[in-house]
Amino acid sequence: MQTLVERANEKKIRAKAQLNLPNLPEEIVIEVLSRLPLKSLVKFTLVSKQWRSLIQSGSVKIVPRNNVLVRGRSTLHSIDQDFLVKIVDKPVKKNPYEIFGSCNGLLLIRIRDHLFLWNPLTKCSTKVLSYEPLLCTGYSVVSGLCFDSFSNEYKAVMALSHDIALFGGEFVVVGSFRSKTWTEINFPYHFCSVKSGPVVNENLHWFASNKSSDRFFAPREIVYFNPRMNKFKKLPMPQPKNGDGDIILGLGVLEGCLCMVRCYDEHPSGHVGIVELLAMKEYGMQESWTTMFIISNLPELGIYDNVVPLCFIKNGELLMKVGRKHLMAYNPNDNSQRDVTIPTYLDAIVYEESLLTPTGYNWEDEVLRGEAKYVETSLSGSRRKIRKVIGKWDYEELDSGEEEHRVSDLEEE
Amino acid sequence: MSSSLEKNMLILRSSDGEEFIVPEVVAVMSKAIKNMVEDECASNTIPVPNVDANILAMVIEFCKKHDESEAEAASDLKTFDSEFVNRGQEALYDLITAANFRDVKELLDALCQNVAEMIKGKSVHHIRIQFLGYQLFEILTSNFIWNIWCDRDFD
Repeated sequence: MQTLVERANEKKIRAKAQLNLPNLPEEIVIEVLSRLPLKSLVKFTLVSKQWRSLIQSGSVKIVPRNNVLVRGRSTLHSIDQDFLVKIVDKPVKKNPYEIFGSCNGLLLIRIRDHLFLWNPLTKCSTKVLSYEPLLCTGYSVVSGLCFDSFSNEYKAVMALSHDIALFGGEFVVVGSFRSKTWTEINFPYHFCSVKSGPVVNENLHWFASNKSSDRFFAPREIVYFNPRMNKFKKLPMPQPKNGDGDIILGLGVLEGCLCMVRCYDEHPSGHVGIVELLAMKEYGMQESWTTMFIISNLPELGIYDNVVPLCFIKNGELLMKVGRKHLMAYNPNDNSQRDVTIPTYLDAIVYEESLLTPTGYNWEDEVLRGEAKYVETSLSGSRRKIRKVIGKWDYEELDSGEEEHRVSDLEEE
Repeated sequence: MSSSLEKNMLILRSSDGEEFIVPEVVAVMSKAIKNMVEDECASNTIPVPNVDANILAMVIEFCKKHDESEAEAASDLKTFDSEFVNRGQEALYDLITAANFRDVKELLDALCQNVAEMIKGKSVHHIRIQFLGYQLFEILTSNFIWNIWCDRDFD
């Protein structure tokens, strides 16, 4: 105990003679924090309220990097641009979940009929909305998350369809996180994107076919949802490969440009051998669609399947989601590809690393429950005592009891 | 205009009255002084309030080096910067304030980088005590109360 007091006194004396950051103007603190690596920033959200709000409000600029989040049956991995695979804590421990969308570093997570916003980097999550029809089985869902900077609000967009007309057939709902309401909006197409759509220029993109035609073999078009106008519109399409229009297999964002993958050759057998990846270099300009790659020899691909470009990794390879079972790295130099094996692979989605924590959705509680990671654990001697206690206040250590609580919390809600 | 002064020289007067003669090119590295010179609202003695002689000398040293070594290799300048800013915390604080107030971008960059390096690997607790002036005693007490609150919450 004596050492503790001594130490305290020693620190007290030292503290007085030292650089006092709060006396500095806020812009200097921002300058300093902007020079720190992401890992430190995650940790430093716990330093003080001021620092937390600076970091989480986005005042501190970080260089955004795209990571791919790969969901397995019971695991979650992230792949970064250096092709480093890391295990990520799942948003929930026991319950099955789905990833419904990704925007500005936040993911939209569905657990039963509840939707959560989750930042995989800071581990903050918050429940934003519920939608009861999601509890019924048999709905197939196309979804997305987008941000409206005008009203500073996130919106979830879901297209649901059910084989039985009684359940509403095919319809699209938009959930506003601020007013906590769902609105049904007009969607005069057949949707066929299988999973969440990419966001460019704040617009959420899906592909869809004409309502009058057959669902799967009809040419498809890119439609986008503009969160400000709450409307779906068509995006100008490149010159189609054949007369009627293209079969689009997937959409993605590469280097800030919207990309699409389309069938390159026609196959009467219904198998797709060659696909073409196009990028819209200037958003909204029809002439700016440019062919990036022509990829052949993709395995067992039908026109029902998806080919989604995810992101480029260090050695120039392109990560792609191919069909239901494959995550592949395509090498444009020699037109080869290799399988990326992640055990029990189910799905993959791109997210941007960010520390963003939008205010107004009760994040604060979650933060205080101590989700911050990058913990220092190895400590020795009498120092351990001090740190341990302090650690709890900081929530630097997340003991199992706490975590259990968090999980059951999600389950009950 | 004082005749004894060479052309393109300016006199900077610190808060405690000491005067420094510096070439105009060096002085105008501070945006604040540059604005004053451009608006011609300054005679050739420019008062630099809030900055004492000691700190002002350091700032001038830094600016001179940067002015001279424009052609020099960037790596040399970087070494100089990191050595220059590697000072006691008190001087660092004064320098930051001066650089911010006088708007010397290069110096401010170097200083912020230095502070960032200082706090990079530190623990949250360490930063609270070292840079935010928290007292260990405070932390322990609030910790105790917080624990009680938490136990209640997590039951």
